Order: sequence, then structure tokens, then C-alpha cells
Amino acid sequence: MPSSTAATPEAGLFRRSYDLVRSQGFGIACGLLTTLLLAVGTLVMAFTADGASSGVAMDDLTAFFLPVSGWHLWLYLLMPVLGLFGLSTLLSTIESVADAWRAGRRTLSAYAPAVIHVAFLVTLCAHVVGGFRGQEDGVVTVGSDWTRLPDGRDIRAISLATDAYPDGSPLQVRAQVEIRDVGGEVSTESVGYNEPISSGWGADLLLLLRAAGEPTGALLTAGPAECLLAGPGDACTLAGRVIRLVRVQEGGHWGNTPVAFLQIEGAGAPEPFFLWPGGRRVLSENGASFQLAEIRSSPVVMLRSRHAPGNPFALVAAVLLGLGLLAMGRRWGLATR
Amino acid sequence: MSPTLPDGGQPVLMAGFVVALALYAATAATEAFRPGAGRRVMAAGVLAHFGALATRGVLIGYLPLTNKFESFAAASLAVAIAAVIAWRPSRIYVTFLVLVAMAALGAALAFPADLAYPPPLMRTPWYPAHVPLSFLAYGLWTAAAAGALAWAFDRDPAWLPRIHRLALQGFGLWSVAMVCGGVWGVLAWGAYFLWDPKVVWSVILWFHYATFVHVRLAPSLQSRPWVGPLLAGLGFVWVLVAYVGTSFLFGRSSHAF
Repeated sequence: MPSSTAATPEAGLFRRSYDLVRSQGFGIACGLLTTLLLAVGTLVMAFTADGASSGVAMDDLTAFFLPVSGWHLWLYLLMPVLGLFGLSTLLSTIESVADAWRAGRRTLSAYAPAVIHVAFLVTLCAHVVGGFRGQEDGVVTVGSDWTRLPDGRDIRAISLATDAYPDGSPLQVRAQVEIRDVGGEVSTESVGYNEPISSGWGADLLLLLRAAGEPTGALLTAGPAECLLAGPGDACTLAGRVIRLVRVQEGGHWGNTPVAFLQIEGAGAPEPFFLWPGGRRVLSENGASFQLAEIRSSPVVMLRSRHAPGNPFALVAAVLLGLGLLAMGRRWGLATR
Repeated sequence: MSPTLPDGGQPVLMAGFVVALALYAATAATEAFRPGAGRRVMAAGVLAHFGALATRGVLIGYLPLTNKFESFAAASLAVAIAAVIAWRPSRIYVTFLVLVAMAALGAALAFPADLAYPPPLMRTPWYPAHVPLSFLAYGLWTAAAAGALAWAFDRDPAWLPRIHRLALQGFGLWSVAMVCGGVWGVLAWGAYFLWDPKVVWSVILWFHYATFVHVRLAPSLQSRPWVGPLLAGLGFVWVLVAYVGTSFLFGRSSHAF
């Protein structure tokens, strides 16, 4: 049987579709359609912020499907458009790289646009992975005791350092925490604003929401003698009397000044009183006195746990985009030309 | 709470911006009488403007982009810088850029100009990279739109490659700004992207200008010289929506300005 080299109608259709999808015109149409759909999307999301779009947050895509809503039509159209855009970019990039290579072009700048195109494709992957697989794992309040994280590890705060501007407003907050993995191994990490605890190239993050020192104890002095009441219920003997810490409170109707509630104990009924830092208590029976030297606090940090599997892809895309832009070199030209 | 100024310090601090505004106005007047001479006047305005903004930065010990006053002032400065760098002795081109720079600086002066320390979340190296690069991209795209307007009047084909180049350079800066903003987003919020009007419109701008820079590669569009100027003009409208519209029209946003 003689073989035929003539294209079948199906092959012709495939070829025409291929040529269409990889064409510049098709990519430009996808780009313009993407801008249009995203613009419509921002208007719809603003209009339905308390309705159909109320569940949309962060980079999540699942909220657009739970439930499916006519308000999200722009996104349902955007996804196939971006899919075709990605396919168009992929095909045209492969072809342009092959053409440049066959033509003997060996300069880096000849392939810079291709690198930028690959960055774009990886970014699309980041959105899909992060949008459908990412999740918020809730907020964990971490004090000096071990607290269980959503991933099974344990965490506790060990110190808190804060810097302030001259007017007292916060400049930076940084907490040291210990993390104990499921095998029992403990590591020390630092967490602050713009400084999350990250693992898996940013796929799992513990982000600082808030940090404060929680007043827990009181240091009392009587001349050279001192006693530390580490927590409520602790007692010590000072100036000849037993003094017990009942509780320490920050804020309330005293303003922001912390207050220690104490009681003097003896044979009779306990004698309750309170002191601010620097405050002094004079004992009526012997004239001796003691002072609340300071209120001791332990760090408490609120951490947001987030699983963001799109972040590593985005990181790769950012590196590729940066390399591609650099490799463009002289192709940027001068604005004044 | 804010940094304190000595008595009478605030008017001195504002003087640089007022001088810059006056010099920008003088640029358009100078250019009308002596084409090409306005560039030096504009450059003098840029120096006064930069000096005033830099002084605020010294006082707060950080990049002076902490509120709407400083944001609009910086946007105006970016447009003025773009005008000086990409100067063309064309009255329409120069007038458009001067008007945009003046409008942005005028808008800045309408906001409270109190000094403020940046909140802790702004204190990251990614911030001083993200915002100034974004504004410089705005400036270059405004220059591209000015070129498009000039082309609409004189149909000089020399504008077309300039418009394309300005759009491309703005696209490059914008891409780097988005990378910096994305990294900052991961560190601050745990995500490089949010379904937030400002962020989505940033993506819209990226797609728009990415599309723009490919127009010259499409054979079917070679015979349509108006496409580039049209996209440059449309891009300027998108810039206004992304920068101003998302801050004032779309309600809640993760971006303060």
C-alpha cells in the first residue's frame, strides 16, 4: 500500500488550532480578556463583599466554588482563559526558543523573554496550587507553657523583645519561641512582624499577629531583702510578715498600669491590698515597709498558622522573573532615545 | 503619635513642596515660550520636591511613604522624574506630564501632612523597593500616555517606538516591584497574592502592559499604528484606577494608599 503524506481533515484542524493558539494575536487577546475579567471581578467582589464574595480571602480559590454563584462568573470564565493563555505562552515560548537556537543565537538576552514566560507559567501553577490547596489553620496563643500547633508540634514563648520609637509607638516586636517536634527535638526560633517562622520554602508559616508581656509575678523588696512571687498563690516572708500574691492585672479601670493584688497573712484574717510598681506598704504594727519593685511578665504571642503551598512556586517564579528581567540587558533601551 | 517638630517647622517642611508646585507650573509656561527650556525648570522642581520629601524621611528615620500625603507627593515626584528623564520638546507631551505631576502634588497638599512613624509592618527592606519602583513605573507609563496624546495630535511616527519603550521600561520596573511586594506579602500576610482590589489591579496593570509589549510582535497589528497609543492611553486610565480608584472607590483594602 502506498503511503499518503496528504494531511487528513483532522490533522489540518489540529494544525490550524495549534497555529492559532501559539500566535501572538491569540496571546494578546487572552491578555486583554484577562484584564477585562479581572477588572469586572474587582467590581463584583466590591459589590458583593457582604454577600456572595464574603468568604473570599487571601489567595483562596475554593470560596468561589462553595457555593457556585452567578456572581463569580467572571472567575469561572477567567480560569479557562488563563489556561489557554498559559498554553499559548508555552507553545510560543517553545517555538521561539527552538527558532533562536536553530538560528545560532547564543546570547543570554535572546532567551530572556522565554525565561520571563516560564516565570509566568510557574506563577499560574502557584495560583492553582495555593488557591485550591492552601488553608488557614487558625490562631494559636502561645505563652510560657507548651501549646499544640495544628501540625502536631508544640510551641512555647521564652522571651519577648520590643523596640519603640521616641514617642513610644511600636517599632519592632520579636519573640523567641521554642518548637518541639513530634520526635521531641526542641529548636529555638524567632518570630516578629515581617519575620514569620517558615518551613518548606514558605509553604508553612507561623505569622505574628500580636505579642505582649502578660503580667504574672511580682518582685517585692524591703531594704536589701527581696522576694520574687513568680505567680498567683506564691508567698514569701518579708519585713516579718507573710505576703502572698493573689493576682496581677494589667489595665482595667487603673488605666494601663499593671497592679499586683496581694495579701498579708498571719494569725487572723488575711489583709488584702494592692500596689502599683514603685508603691510602698507600711506595716502599722512595726513601721517596717516593703515595696513592689517591679511586676514580672512572661511573653504571650498570638500566631496565625497558615499552609500556603503556592508560595514555593511563587518564589521560583520570582527568581525566574528577576533573572529574565536582568537578562534582557540592553533590550530595555534608554527612555530618552 | 508622631515625631515632633520645632516651632514653625511645619511651614518650612511644606515650603519645598510649594516651591516644587510653582516650578512645575513654570515648566509648562517656559515650554510654551521656549520649547526645550522647560526641562531645567522641571529638574529644579524635582530637586526641591525630592529635598522636601527626603527631609520628611530624615525626620521619621525611614522611607517617607507612610500616609496619603507622602504617597501622592511621591507619585507626583515619580511623574516629574519620568518627565525629566524622558523629556521631549513637545508642548502637548510636556503639558500633560506637568498637569499630572501638579494634580498629584495638589492632591497631596489636600491631605494632612503630619509626620508619622511607620508601623512595624512597613519596616522591611522590601517596602522601600516595592513602592518607589511602583511609582516610577507609574511615572514612565504616564509619559507613555503623554506620548500617545502627542501622537494623537501630530501623528509623528517617531512617538510610536518611544511609547513602546516607555511602556516596556515601566513594565520591567513594575515586574520587579511586584516581586518585591510579593515577597513582602509572604512575610507579612503569608501570601504573595490577595483577592484585594489594589493587588488585583496591580495584576491587571501587569497583564495590560505585558500585552502591550507584545503588540509589536503581532504581524496582524503592524498596520495599525493607533494600537500602541490606544493601549498607552488605556493603561494610564488603569493606573489611575489602580492607584487612586482602589484607595477611594473599592472600600476595604489591604493597602493604606
